[in-house]
Amino acid sequence: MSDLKTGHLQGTTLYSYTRLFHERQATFEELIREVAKRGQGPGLEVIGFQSIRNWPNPGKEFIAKFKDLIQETQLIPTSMAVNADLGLRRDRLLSEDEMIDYMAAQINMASELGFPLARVQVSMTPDVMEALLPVAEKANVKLGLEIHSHHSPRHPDMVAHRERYEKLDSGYLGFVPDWGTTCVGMPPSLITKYRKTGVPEEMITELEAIWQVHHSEGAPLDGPTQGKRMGQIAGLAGKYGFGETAIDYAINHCGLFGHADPEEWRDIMHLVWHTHGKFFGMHDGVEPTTPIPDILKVYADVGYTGSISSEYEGFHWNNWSNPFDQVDEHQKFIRQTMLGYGYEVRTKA
Amino acid sequence: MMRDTIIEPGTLRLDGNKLSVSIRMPWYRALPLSSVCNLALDIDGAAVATESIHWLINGTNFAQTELPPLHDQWWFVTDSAVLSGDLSDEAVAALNLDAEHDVHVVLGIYIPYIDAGHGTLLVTESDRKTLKIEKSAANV
Repeated sequence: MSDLKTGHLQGTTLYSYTRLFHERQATFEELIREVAKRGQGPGLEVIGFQSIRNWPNPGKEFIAKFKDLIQETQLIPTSMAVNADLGLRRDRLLSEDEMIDYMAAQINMASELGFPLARVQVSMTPDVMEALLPVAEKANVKLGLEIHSHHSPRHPDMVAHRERYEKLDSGYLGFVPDWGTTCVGMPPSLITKYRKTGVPEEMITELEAIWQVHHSEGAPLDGPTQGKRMGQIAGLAGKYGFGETAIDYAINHCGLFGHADPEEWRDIMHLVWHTHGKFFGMHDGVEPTTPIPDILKVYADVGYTGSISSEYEGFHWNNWSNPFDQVDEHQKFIRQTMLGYGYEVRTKA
Repeated sequence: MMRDTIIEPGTLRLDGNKLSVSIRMPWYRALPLSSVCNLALDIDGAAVATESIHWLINGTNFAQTELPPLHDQWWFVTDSAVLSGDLSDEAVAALNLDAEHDVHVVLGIYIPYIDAGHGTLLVTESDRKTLKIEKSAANV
Protein backbone atom coordinates (compact mmCIF):
# COMPACT_ATOMS: atom_id res chain seq x y z
CA MET A 1 0.00 0.00 0.00
CA SER A 2 1.27 3.42 -0.94
CA ASP A 3 2.09 5.89 1.80
CA LEU A 4 1.89 8.72 -0.68
CA LYS A 5 -0.61 11.48 -0.11
CA THR A 6 -2.95 12.65 -2.87
CA GLY A 7 -1.44 15.61 -4.64
CA HIS A 8 -2.62 18.24 -7.06
CA LEU A 9 -4.32 17.66 -10.42
CA GLN A 10 -1.84 17.77 -13.30
CA GLY A 11 -2.82 19.89 -16.26
CA THR A 12 -1.81 22.27 -18.97
CA THR A 13 -2.98 25.45 -20.64
CA LEU A 14 -3.34 25.85 -24.39
CA TYR A 15 -1.28 29.03 -23.92
CA SER A 16 1.76 26.74 -23.78
CA TYR A 17 1.20 25.86 -27.45
CA THR A 18 0.53 29.40 -28.63
CA ARG A 19 3.05 29.23 -31.48
CA LEU A 20 1.51 26.08 -32.95
CA PHE A 21 -1.93 27.71 -32.94
CA HIS A 22 -0.68 31.12 -34.06
CA GLU A 23 1.33 29.60 -36.93
CA ARG A 24 -1.76 27.60 -37.95
CA GLN A 25 0.05 24.31 -37.43
CA ALA A 26 -2.72 23.07 -35.13
CA THR A 27 -6.34 24.02 -34.57
CA PHE A 28 -7.99 24.41 -31.17
CA GLU A 29 -9.47 20.91 -31.46
CA GLU A 30 -6.15 19.39 -32.58
CA LEU A 31 -4.31 20.94 -29.64
CA ILE A 32 -6.85 19.55 -27.17
CA ARG A 33 -6.66 16.06 -28.70
CA GLU A 34 -2.85 16.19 -28.59
CA VAL A 35 -2.94 17.24 -24.91
CA ALA A 36 -5.08 14.18 -24.18
CA LYS A 37 -2.99 11.86 -26.37
CA ARG A 38 0.26 12.88 -24.69
CA GLY A 39 -1.22 12.64 -21.20
CA GLN A 40 -0.57 16.30 -20.40
CA GLY A 41 -3.94 16.61 -18.69
CA PRO A 42 -6.31 15.79 -17.35
CA GLY A 43 -6.56 19.45 -16.33
CA LEU A 44 -7.25 21.75 -19.27
CA GLU A 45 -7.05 25.53 -19.22
CA VAL A 46 -8.11 27.75 -22.11
CA ILE A 47 -7.83 31.49 -22.73
CA GLY A 48 -11.17 32.63 -24.13
CA PHE A 49 -9.81 35.49 -26.18
CA GLN A 50 -7.01 33.32 -27.57
CA SER A 51 -8.73 30.13 -28.61
CA ILE A 52 -12.35 31.01 -29.20
CA ARG A 53 -13.55 33.23 -32.02
CA ASN A 54 -16.20 35.78 -30.99
CA TRP A 55 -15.45 35.19 -27.30
CA PRO A 56 -17.48 35.42 -25.06
CA ASN A 57 -20.29 34.77 -27.56
CA PRO A 58 -19.01 31.78 -29.52
CA GLY A 59 -22.44 30.43 -30.46
CA LYS A 60 -24.36 27.25 -29.75
CA GLU A 61 -22.50 25.14 -32.30
CA PHE A 62 -19.12 25.86 -30.69
CA ILE A 63 -20.47 25.16 -27.20
CA ALA A 64 -21.86 21.79 -28.26
CA LYS A 65 -18.68 20.81 -30.09
CA PHE A 66 -16.51 21.78 -27.13
CA LYS A 67 -18.59 19.69 -24.74
CA ASP A 68 -18.36 16.73 -27.13
CA LEU A 69 -14.58 17.15 -27.30
CA ILE A 70 -14.28 17.17 -23.51
CA GLN A 71 -16.41 14.03 -23.38
CA GLU A 72 -14.26 12.37 -26.06
CA THR A 73 -10.90 13.28 -24.51
CA GLN A 74 -11.94 12.86 -20.87
CA LEU A 75 -10.06 16.03 -20.03
CA ILE A 76 -11.18 18.11 -17.05
CA PRO A 77 -11.77 21.84 -17.64
CA THR A 78 -9.92 23.59 -14.81
CA SER A 79 -9.69 27.26 -15.65
CA MET A 80 -11.05 29.61 -18.27
CA ALA A 81 -8.64 32.50 -18.46
CA VAL A 82 -10.71 35.63 -18.99
CA ASN A 83 -9.41 39.11 -19.67
CA ALA A 84 -10.13 42.28 -17.77
CA ASP A 85 -9.81 44.73 -20.66
CA LEU A 86 -10.02 47.98 -18.75
CA GLY A 87 -8.18 49.75 -21.60
CA LEU A 88 -10.45 48.50 -24.38
CA ARG A 89 -11.24 52.01 -25.58
CA ARG A 90 -8.81 54.70 -26.70
CA ASP A 91 -10.85 57.61 -25.35
CA ARG A 92 -11.23 56.43 -21.74
CA LEU A 93 -11.00 53.47 -19.40
CA LEU A 94 -14.09 51.30 -18.94
CA SER A 95 -16.26 52.38 -16.03
CA GLU A 96 -16.77 50.06 -13.07
CA ASP A 97 -20.25 49.11 -14.34
CA GLU A 98 -18.89 48.41 -17.82
CA MET A 99 -16.14 46.22 -16.36
CA ILE A 100 -18.67 44.24 -14.33
CA ASP A 101 -20.76 43.58 -17.46
CA TYR A 102 -17.65 42.77 -19.51
CA MET A 103 -16.45 40.23 -16.93
CA ALA A 104 -19.89 38.77 -16.18
CA ALA A 105 -20.35 37.78 -19.84
CA GLN A 106 -17.05 35.87 -19.75
CA ILE A 107 -17.74 34.25 -16.38
CA ASN A 108 -21.14 33.06 -17.56
CA MET A 109 -19.67 31.56 -20.73
CA ALA A 110 -16.93 29.87 -18.68
CA SER A 111 -19.73 28.28 -16.67
CA GLU A 112 -21.63 27.20 -19.76
CA LEU A 113 -18.51 25.51 -21.11
CA GLY A 114 -18.02 23.62 -17.86
CA PHE A 115 -15.13 25.51 -16.25
CA PRO A 116 -15.23 25.67 -12.45
CA LEU A 117 -12.92 28.69 -12.25
CA ALA A 118 -12.22 31.85 -14.20
CA ARG A 119 -8.74 33.34 -14.06
CA VAL A 120 -9.10 37.11 -13.80
CA GLN A 121 -6.47 39.81 -13.96
CA VAL A 122 -4.95 42.53 -11.89
CA SER A 123 -6.84 45.35 -13.58
CA MET A 124 -9.75 44.27 -11.34
CA THR A 125 -10.14 46.21 -8.11
CA PRO A 126 -11.35 44.58 -4.87
CA ASP A 127 -14.63 46.51 -5.36
CA VAL A 128 -15.18 45.05 -8.83
CA MET A 129 -14.33 41.59 -7.53
CA GLU A 130 -16.85 41.97 -4.73
CA ALA A 131 -19.46 43.24 -7.19
CA LEU A 132 -18.87 40.14 -9.31
CA LEU A 133 -19.35 37.76 -6.39
CA PRO A 134 -23.10 37.26 -7.01
CA VAL A 135 -22.33 36.53 -10.68
CA ALA A 136 -19.69 33.99 -9.66
CA GLU A 137 -21.97 32.34 -7.11
CA LYS A 138 -24.87 32.11 -9.56
CA ALA A 139 -22.63 30.69 -12.29
CA ASN A 140 -20.85 28.48 -9.75
CA VAL A 141 -17.50 29.67 -11.08
CA LYS A 142 -14.73 30.61 -8.66
CA LEU A 143 -12.73 33.72 -9.56
CA GLY A 144 -8.96 33.48 -9.28
CA LEU A 145 -7.08 36.76 -9.53
CA GLU A 146 -3.76 35.97 -11.18
CA ILE A 147 -0.70 37.10 -9.28
CA HIS A 148 1.76 37.62 -12.09
CA SER A 149 5.09 39.40 -12.13
CA HIS A 150 5.70 42.28 -11.50
CA HIS A 151 3.12 41.86 -8.73
CA SER A 152 3.69 39.48 -5.86
CA PRO A 153 1.65 38.21 -2.89
CA ARG A 154 2.96 41.02 -0.67
CA HIS A 155 2.41 43.82 -3.18
CA PRO A 156 -0.04 46.25 -1.51
CA ASP A 157 -2.59 45.77 -4.33
CA MET A 158 -2.61 42.00 -3.72
CA VAL A 159 -2.74 42.42 0.04
CA ALA A 160 -5.85 44.58 -0.44
CA HIS A 161 -7.43 41.83 -2.53
CA ARG A 162 -6.50 39.16 0.03
CA GLU A 163 -7.95 41.16 2.92
CA ARG A 164 -11.20 41.68 1.01
CA TYR A 165 -11.47 37.99 0.06
CA GLU A 166 -10.77 36.92 3.63
CA LYS A 167 -13.40 39.32 4.93
CA LEU A 168 -16.01 38.08 2.44
CA ASP A 169 -15.03 34.45 3.08
CA SER A 170 -17.18 33.39 0.12
CA GLY A 171 -15.25 30.41 -1.21
CA TYR A 172 -15.54 32.06 -4.63
CA LEU A 173 -12.86 34.77 -4.57
CA GLY A 174 -9.21 33.76 -4.54
CA PHE A 175 -5.94 33.81 -6.43
CA VAL A 176 -4.13 32.06 -9.26
CA PRO A 177 -0.39 32.11 -8.48
CA ASP A 178 1.81 32.47 -11.54
CA TRP A 179 5.25 31.03 -10.84
CA GLY A 180 6.94 33.64 -13.04
CA THR A 181 6.45 35.90 -10.00
CA THR A 182 9.18 34.02 -8.15
CA CYS A 183 12.15 33.61 -10.52
CA VAL A 184 15.84 33.20 -9.80
CA GLY A 185 17.31 34.39 -13.08
CA MET A 186 16.77 35.13 -16.74
CA PRO A 187 15.98 32.13 -18.97
CA PRO A 188 18.97 30.66 -20.84
CA SER A 189 16.84 30.31 -23.99
CA LEU A 190 16.22 34.07 -24.02
CA ILE A 191 19.96 34.73 -23.83
CA THR A 192 20.40 32.24 -26.68
CA LYS A 193 17.80 34.14 -28.72
CA TYR A 194 19.49 37.45 -28.00
CA ARG A 195 22.76 36.02 -29.33
CA LYS A 196 21.02 34.56 -32.40
CA THR A 197 19.55 37.93 -33.24
CA GLY A 198 22.72 39.95 -32.89
CA VAL A 199 22.32 41.48 -29.45
CA PRO A 200 25.86 42.45 -28.42
CA GLU A 201 27.52 40.55 -25.56
CA GLU A 202 28.03 43.81 -23.67
CA MET A 203 24.29 44.45 -23.70
CA ILE A 204 23.51 40.90 -22.57
CA THR A 205 26.01 41.28 -19.73
CA GLU A 206 24.39 44.56 -18.70
CA LEU A 207 20.88 43.10 -18.90
CA GLU A 208 21.82 40.18 -16.67
CA ALA A 209 23.61 42.46 -14.21
CA ILE A 210 20.60 44.80 -13.93
CA TRP A 211 18.29 41.80 -13.41
CA GLN A 212 20.48 40.74 -10.49
CA VAL A 213 20.41 44.26 -9.04
CA HIS A 214 16.60 44.29 -9.26
CA HIS A 215 16.54 40.83 -7.73
CA SER A 216 18.63 41.91 -4.77
CA GLU A 217 16.19 44.81 -4.26
CA GLY A 218 13.21 42.42 -4.46
CA ALA A 219 9.83 42.55 -6.18
CA PRO A 220 8.59 46.14 -6.72
CA LEU A 221 5.89 47.19 -4.29
CA ASP A 222 4.73 50.29 -6.14
CA GLY A 223 4.20 51.55 -9.68
CA PRO A 224 7.01 54.12 -9.74
CA THR A 225 9.61 51.46 -8.85
CA GLN A 226 8.35 49.23 -11.65
CA GLY A 227 8.23 52.20 -14.05
CA LYS A 228 11.79 53.17 -13.14
CA ARG A 229 13.04 49.63 -13.75
CA MET A 230 11.29 49.40 -17.11
CA GLY A 231 12.75 52.76 -18.07
CA GLN A 232 16.22 51.48 -17.16
CA ILE A 233 15.88 48.50 -19.49
CA ALA A 234 14.30 50.50 -22.31
CA GLY A 235 17.14 53.02 -21.98
CA LEU A 236 19.71 50.25 -22.17
CA ALA A 237 18.07 48.81 -25.31
CA GLY A 238 18.06 52.29 -26.83
CA LYS A 239 21.75 52.76 -26.01
CA TYR A 240 22.61 49.69 -28.07
CA GLY A 241 20.41 50.69 -31.02
CA PHE A 242 17.27 48.70 -30.17
CA GLY A 243 15.11 51.72 -29.37
CA GLU A 244 12.33 50.69 -31.75
CA THR A 245 11.55 47.57 -29.72
CA ALA A 246 12.84 48.78 -26.35
CA ILE A 247 9.47 48.13 -24.68
CA ASP A 248 9.74 44.47 -25.65
CA TYR A 249 13.01 44.18 -23.72
CA ALA A 250 11.48 46.02 -20.78
CA ILE A 251 8.41 43.76 -20.71
CA ASN A 252 10.53 40.63 -20.83
CA HIS A 253 12.94 41.83 -18.22
CA CYS A 254 10.57 43.51 -15.76
CA GLY A 255 7.24 41.87 -16.57
CA LEU A 256 8.02 38.18 -16.90
CA PHE A 257 10.85 37.24 -14.54
CA GLY A 258 9.63 38.35 -11.13
CA HIS A 259 11.74 38.81 -8.01
CA ALA A 260 9.54 37.63 -5.13
CA ASP A 261 10.57 34.92 -2.67
CA PRO A 262 8.65 31.64 -3.21
CA GLU A 263 7.86 31.66 0.51
CA GLU A 264 5.44 34.54 -0.19
CA TRP A 265 3.04 32.07 -1.81
CA ARG A 266 2.39 30.73 1.67
CA ASP A 267 0.40 33.91 2.48
CA ILE A 268 -2.34 33.12 -0.02
CA MET A 269 -2.51 29.34 -0.38
CA HIS A 270 -5.75 29.16 1.62
CA LEU A 271 -7.33 31.09 -1.28
CA VAL A 272 -5.81 29.10 -4.16
CA TRP A 273 -7.65 26.46 -6.20
CA HIS A 274 -5.72 26.72 -9.45
CA THR A 275 -2.15 27.61 -10.38
CA HIS A 276 -0.17 28.71 -13.41
CA GLY A 277 2.95 26.57 -13.30
CA LYS A 278 4.75 29.12 -15.44
CA PHE A 279 8.09 28.05 -16.90
CA PHE A 280 10.34 29.39 -19.61
CA GLY A 281 12.18 26.29 -20.78
CA MET A 282 13.45 22.97 -19.46
CA HIS A 283 17.19 22.34 -19.69
CA ASP A 284 18.57 18.88 -18.97
CA GLY A 285 15.44 17.97 -17.03
CA VAL A 286 15.29 21.05 -14.81
CA GLU A 287 13.85 24.55 -15.09
CA PRO A 288 16.62 27.03 -14.30
CA THR A 289 14.42 30.14 -14.04
CA THR A 290 11.50 29.17 -11.79
CA PRO A 291 12.72 27.35 -8.66
CA ILE A 292 10.19 24.52 -8.79
CA PRO A 293 11.40 22.58 -5.71
CA ASP A 294 11.23 25.71 -3.54
CA ILE A 295 7.79 26.65 -4.86
CA LEU A 296 6.37 23.15 -4.55
CA LYS A 297 7.69 22.87 -0.99
CA VAL A 298 5.07 25.48 -0.09
CA TYR A 299 2.39 23.53 -1.98
CA ALA A 300 3.41 20.30 -0.24
CA ASP A 301 3.46 21.91 3.19
CA VAL A 302 -0.12 23.14 2.83
CA GLY A 303 -1.37 19.91 1.24
CA TYR A 304 -2.52 21.61 -1.97
CA THR A 305 -5.01 19.49 -3.94
CA GLY A 306 -6.12 22.02 -6.56
CA SER A 307 -4.98 22.04 -10.18
CA ILE A 308 -1.70 23.19 -11.73
CA SER A 309 -1.45 24.12 -15.40
CA SER A 310 2.02 23.76 -16.85
CA GLU A 311 2.35 27.09 -18.60
CA TYR A 312 5.25 27.25 -21.05
CA GLU A 313 6.09 30.83 -21.94
CA GLY A 314 9.46 30.46 -23.63
CA PHE A 315 7.58 30.58 -26.94
CA HIS A 316 7.71 34.38 -26.80
CA TRP A 317 11.23 34.16 -28.18
CA ASN A 318 11.92 30.45 -28.63
CA ASN A 319 10.88 29.35 -32.12
CA TRP A 320 12.96 26.17 -32.09
CA SER A 321 11.62 24.05 -29.19
CA ASN A 322 8.52 21.87 -29.36
CA PRO A 323 6.12 23.11 -26.65
CA PHE A 324 4.58 19.65 -26.12
CA ASP A 325 8.06 18.27 -25.36
CA GLN A 326 8.64 21.19 -23.00
CA VAL A 327 5.41 20.48 -21.10
CA ASP A 328 6.27 16.77 -20.92
CA GLU A 329 9.57 17.55 -19.22
CA HIS A 330 8.02 20.12 -16.91
CA GLN A 331 5.30 17.78 -15.70
CA LYS A 332 7.78 14.95 -15.23
CA PHE A 333 9.96 17.18 -13.06
CA ILE A 334 6.94 18.31 -11.03
CA ARG A 335 5.79 14.72 -10.46
CA GLN A 336 9.28 13.72 -9.31
CA THR A 337 9.55 16.72 -7.03
CA MET A 338 6.16 16.05 -5.43
CA LEU A 339 7.07 12.39 -5.02
CA GLY A 340 10.06 13.56 -3.01
CA TYR A 341 7.66 15.49 -0.79
CA GLY A 342 5.44 12.43 -0.34
CA TYR A 343 2.71 13.29 -2.80
CA GLU A 344 1.38 11.49 -5.86
CA VAL A 345 0.28 13.97 -8.52
CA ARG A 346 -3.13 13.09 -9.98
CA THR A 347 -2.73 12.35 -13.66
CA LYS A 348 -6.02 10.56 -14.37
CA ALA A 349 -9.56 11.87 -14.56
CA MET B 1 6.23 38.87 -28.53
CA MET B 2 6.70 36.55 -31.54
CA ARG B 3 7.81 39.54 -33.58
CA ASP B 4 9.51 37.18 -36.03
CA THR B 5 6.04 36.27 -37.31
CA ILE B 6 4.76 39.79 -38.10
CA ILE B 7 5.55 39.96 -41.84
CA GLU B 8 3.95 37.02 -43.63
CA PRO B 9 6.33 35.64 -46.29
CA GLY B 10 5.08 35.50 -49.87
CA THR B 11 2.55 38.34 -49.46
CA LEU B 12 4.38 41.44 -50.68
CA ARG B 13 2.43 43.05 -53.49
CA LEU B 14 2.62 46.21 -55.57
CA ASP B 15 -0.43 47.53 -57.41
CA GLY B 16 0.35 50.85 -59.06
CA ASN B 17 1.85 52.83 -56.21
CA LYS B 18 0.11 50.80 -53.52
CA LEU B 19 2.45 48.52 -51.58
CA SER B 20 0.88 45.86 -49.33
CA VAL B 21 1.94 42.98 -47.13
CA SER B 22 0.12 40.55 -44.83
CA ILE B 23 0.62 40.97 -41.10
CA ARG B 24 0.37 38.49 -38.23
CA MET B 25 -0.34 39.60 -34.71
CA PRO B 26 2.67 39.77 -32.35
CA TRP B 27 0.47 38.82 -29.40
CA TYR B 28 -1.32 35.70 -28.18
CA ARG B 29 -4.97 36.76 -27.92
CA ALA B 30 -7.58 38.59 -29.98
CA LEU B 31 -7.25 42.34 -29.78
CA PRO B 32 -9.84 45.02 -30.48
CA LEU B 33 -9.16 47.04 -33.64
CA SER B 34 -8.89 50.05 -31.33
CA SER B 35 -5.60 48.52 -30.15
CA VAL B 36 -3.88 48.86 -33.51
CA CYS B 37 -1.84 52.02 -34.11
CA ASN B 38 1.41 53.62 -35.25
CA LEU B 39 1.60 51.59 -38.45
CA ALA B 40 4.57 52.03 -40.77
CA LEU B 41 5.76 50.18 -43.86
CA ASP B 42 8.87 50.73 -45.91
CA ILE B 43 10.68 48.94 -48.71
CA ASP B 44 14.40 49.40 -49.27
CA GLY B 45 14.15 52.40 -46.95
CA ALA B 46 11.32 54.12 -48.88
CA ALA B 47 8.29 54.56 -46.60
CA VAL B 48 4.66 54.60 -47.70
CA ALA B 49 2.88 57.89 -46.99
CA THR B 50 1.47 57.83 -43.45
CA GLU B 51 -1.87 59.35 -44.50
CA SER B 52 -2.34 56.60 -47.11
CA ILE B 53 -1.94 53.71 -44.65
CA HIS B 54 -4.81 51.22 -44.56
CA TRP B 55 -5.50 48.09 -42.51
CA LEU B 56 -7.62 45.37 -44.14
CA ILE B 57 -9.24 43.10 -41.57
CA ASN B 58 -12.50 41.11 -41.43
CA GLY B 59 -13.25 42.15 -45.02
CA THR B 60 -13.02 45.91 -44.49
CA ASN B 61 -10.12 48.12 -45.54
CA PHE B 62 -9.87 50.75 -42.80
CA ALA B 63 -7.82 53.92 -42.96
CA GLN B 64 -5.49 53.97 -39.98
CA THR B 65 -7.38 56.96 -38.61
CA GLU B 66 -10.62 54.94 -38.53
CA LEU B 67 -9.26 52.32 -36.12
CA PRO B 68 -9.24 54.04 -32.67
CA PRO B 69 -13.04 53.97 -32.09
CA LEU B 70 -13.40 50.31 -33.15
CA HIS B 71 -13.27 48.74 -29.68
CA ASP B 72 -16.11 46.32 -30.52
CA GLN B 73 -14.46 44.75 -33.58
CA TRP B 74 -11.73 42.18 -33.19
CA TRP B 75 -8.51 41.00 -34.79
CA PHE B 76 -8.49 37.25 -34.11
CA VAL B 77 -5.21 35.51 -33.37
CA THR B 78 -5.04 33.33 -36.48
CA ASP B 79 -6.23 35.98 -38.94
CA SER B 80 -3.92 37.97 -41.18
CA ALA B 81 -4.43 41.68 -41.66
CA VAL B 82 -3.16 43.46 -44.77
CA LEU B 83 -1.14 46.61 -44.27
CA SER B 84 -0.97 48.90 -47.30
CA GLY B 85 0.08 52.37 -48.29
CA ASP B 86 1.21 54.46 -51.24
CA LEU B 87 4.80 54.84 -52.36
CA SER B 88 6.00 57.91 -54.20
CA ASP B 89 6.42 57.68 -57.99
CA GLU B 90 10.19 57.90 -57.48
CA ALA B 91 10.20 55.01 -55.01
CA VAL B 92 8.14 52.82 -57.35
CA ALA B 93 10.40 53.67 -60.30
CA ALA B 94 13.43 52.63 -58.24
CA LEU B 95 12.02 49.16 -57.44
CA ASN B 96 13.45 46.25 -59.40
CA LEU B 97 10.47 43.91 -59.62
CA ASP B 98 12.69 40.85 -60.03
CA ALA B 99 14.95 41.57 -57.08
CA GLU B 100 14.61 40.85 -53.38
CA HIS B 101 13.71 43.77 -51.16
CA ASP B 102 14.24 44.79 -47.58
CA VAL B 103 10.74 45.15 -46.10
CA HIS B 104 10.22 46.73 -42.70
CA VAL B 105 7.01 46.98 -40.71
CA VAL B 106 6.30 48.77 -37.44
CA LEU B 107 3.13 48.05 -35.53
CA GLY B 108 1.83 49.41 -32.25
CA ILE B 109 -0.68 47.45 -30.18
CA TYR B 110 -2.33 48.63 -27.00
CA ILE B 111 -2.67 45.72 -24.55
CA PRO B 112 -6.11 46.39 -23.08
CA TYR B 113 -5.64 44.55 -19.77
CA ILE B 114 -2.24 45.96 -18.82
CA ASP B 115 -1.93 49.33 -17.12
CA ALA B 116 1.53 50.76 -17.72
CA GLY B 117 1.13 53.24 -14.87
CA HIS B 118 0.57 56.17 -17.24
CA GLY B 119 -2.20 54.57 -19.31
CA THR B 120 -2.80 51.34 -21.17
CA LEU B 121 0.41 49.58 -22.19
CA LEU B 122 1.45 50.31 -25.77
CA VAL B 123 3.75 47.68 -27.25
CA THR B 124 5.62 48.65 -30.38
CA GLU B 125 6.95 45.75 -32.41
CA SER B 126 8.75 45.60 -35.72
CA ASP B 127 9.82 43.01 -38.23
CA ARG B 128 12.20 43.12 -41.16
CA LYS B 129 12.28 40.49 -43.86
CA THR B 130 13.75 40.09 -47.33
CA LEU B 131 10.95 39.49 -49.82
CA LYS B 132 10.26 39.47 -53.53
CA ILE B 133 7.23 41.24 -54.92
CA GLU B 134 4.64 38.61 -55.79
CA LYS B 135 3.71 38.31 -59.45
CA SER B 136 0.28 36.76 -59.28
CA ALA B 137 -3.03 37.70 -60.80
CA ALA B 138 -4.11 38.41 -57.25
CA ASN B 139 -1.78 41.40 -57.24
CA VAL B 140 -4.43 43.74 -55.94
